[in-house]
Amino acid sequence: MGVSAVTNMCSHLQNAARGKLGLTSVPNIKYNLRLALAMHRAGFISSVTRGGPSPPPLEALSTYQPEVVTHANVSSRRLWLGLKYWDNRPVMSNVKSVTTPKRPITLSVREMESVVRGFKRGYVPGLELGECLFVSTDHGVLEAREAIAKNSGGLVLARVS
Amino acid sequence: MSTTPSARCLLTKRLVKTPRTILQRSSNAPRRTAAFSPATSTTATSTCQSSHGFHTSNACHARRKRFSSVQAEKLGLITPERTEKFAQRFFPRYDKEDYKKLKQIYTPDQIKAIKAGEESIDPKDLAIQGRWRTDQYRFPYWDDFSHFLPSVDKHPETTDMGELQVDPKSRWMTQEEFDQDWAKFLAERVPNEVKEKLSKGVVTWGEVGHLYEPKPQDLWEFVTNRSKFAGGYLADKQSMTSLAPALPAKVPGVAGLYELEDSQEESEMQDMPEEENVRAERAKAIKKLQAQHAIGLGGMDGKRNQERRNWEMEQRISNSPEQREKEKKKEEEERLKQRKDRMMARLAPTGPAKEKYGWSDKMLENIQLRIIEAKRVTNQTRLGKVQSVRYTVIAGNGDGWLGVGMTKGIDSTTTPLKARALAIMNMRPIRRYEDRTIYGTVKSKFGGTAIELYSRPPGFGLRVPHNIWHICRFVGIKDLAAKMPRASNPMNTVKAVVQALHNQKDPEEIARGRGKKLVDCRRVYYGGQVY
Repeated sequence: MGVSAVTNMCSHLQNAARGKLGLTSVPNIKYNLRLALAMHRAGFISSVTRGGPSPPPLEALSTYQPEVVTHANVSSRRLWLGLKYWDNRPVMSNVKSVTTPKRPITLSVREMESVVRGFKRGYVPGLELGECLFVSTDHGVLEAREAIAKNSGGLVLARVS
Repeated sequence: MSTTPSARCLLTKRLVKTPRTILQRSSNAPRRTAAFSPATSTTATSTCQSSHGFHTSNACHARRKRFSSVQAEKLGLITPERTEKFAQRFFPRYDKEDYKKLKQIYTPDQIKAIKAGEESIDPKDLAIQGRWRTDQYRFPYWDDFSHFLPSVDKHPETTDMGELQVDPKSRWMTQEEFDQDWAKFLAERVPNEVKEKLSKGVVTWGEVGHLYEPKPQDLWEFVTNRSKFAGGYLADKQSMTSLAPALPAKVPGVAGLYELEDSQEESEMQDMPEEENVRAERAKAIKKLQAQHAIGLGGMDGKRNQERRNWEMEQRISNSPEQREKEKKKEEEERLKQRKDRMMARLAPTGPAKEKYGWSDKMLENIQLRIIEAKRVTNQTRLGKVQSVRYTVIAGNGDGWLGVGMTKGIDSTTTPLKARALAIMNMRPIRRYEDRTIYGTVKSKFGGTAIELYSRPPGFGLRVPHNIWHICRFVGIKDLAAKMPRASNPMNTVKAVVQALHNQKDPEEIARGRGKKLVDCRRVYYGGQVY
């Protein structure tokens, strides 16, 4: 699973946002969860809720208590993500995975610094206005600027804008 | 065929009935009215009478109403009492208190007009006929029609000299009028010392000629710039007929109007009242002056030499550096003014530019126009090729406003004018980062033309294709890079660039969408001294 799940999540989120969905779900995997939390921090996602196959009640997204995970139900656990819209447009309209299972792409801190400033490094084109880069580092999944602040490079997961 | 098409039915009826109706009518009735009069025959069926006969389909009758309509009067909504009550409530007459307040604002004449208005308009009429608009299309302002709004009001007729060329009231000056005019002209130029002497009575107007002689410049000004018309508004304006007094003997229509009759004048002087006597004396003195000057022009006598010396002195003064600088400044101002006038004339070939476009003077002064493309295009029809011209014009003020005008027409004189006007009217603001570049990267595509615009740091310059360069200059973008990977059609380029410039991202909006606070570090770091 790993990176391929993240890739799937990226395309799913883009489709869901362009389809103007309010709430969508992705498989509940650690990698997905970390990326979702990083996106939440960056402001692309309004809520991250653990749940089952059916969505949690909308009014209790932040207080919802999921049922206990067992061997029997673990495969059907989902992460329910609230999507954001502003000015009749999705806040997150482009989500593209950078690393694919076939071609992992990593960036060092120095490289990441120049990418964040808008210059191309290796396979990663520079960031444009309003773009974010999510990187899997030793400190968990972080936004590129957070990663630079923590002085750690890593595997480039997705570009979001 | 129970449902016969009504048109055909009518047509046949008319064809059959027409001769008879003509016969029945009196002979002086026009034939056309008879032929087109509705079927008057008694045999016409009901379907024929009810339909108009403009189409072949069956007439669609109005649905029978389920409820008969109730009139407002019967409901008691517009009884005379209610109308009056409404009128009193919404259109009350001014009372004494109101007039007291009005008097503070308006002049007595205006108050009179207000009173007349109050008397002439019945509040009941206002209540019944007036509409108090509450719909969303009502005007968002109260208009007392005291100002001219170019976008709403009809344009007033201009009373420009160019449009009213003929002045019916104007006529040539008579000899006396001419003399008076000449005297008036000279009186403006007589030196102050002579004027003083005149006022004290030391010298008379008759003796002025010994003390003062008009300069050649003055004479030249009189001949070229002074109007020889009397009456009408042309009297005060510069006329093209200023040399008319020199022509009397030769021009047939003018001959005899400007005769010098000294003997007649002298006899007239004795009968004149005192004031006119003085005036005539003055005129005579001036005539003497003229005569003297004529001699001066012919031979170089002492006076003429003196004059020449004076003129040389003046020349010397006028050639001093300060004078030259002053003149230079004046010339520069004049040039700028002419440029502005030319610009205004270009913006609006007919009528004032400001009222046409509704922009302020400052905005109009800075507007630049450029024809990006003038192209002859052809429409191939079955009747042949139809040629026309297409113009693409851009307008900008060099400070963040851009407009595009595109027109197609037959002639290449009015079409670009229309394109220009359209370009100015289409002007919209363009967002610029630090008033020098765009926000981020923008891509757009129009037809086969794709465009990528990249924002660049200060001092980068405009490294863009030439058509985009012109647009950037007009908008006031100084740092930009661009790529046109595909077609470079000028019209599509303009459209694509405009599209791109209007679709720039807004960092503030992005931040708001993500719930972040945004601070531009450049401004903070450089203390607001970035540009």
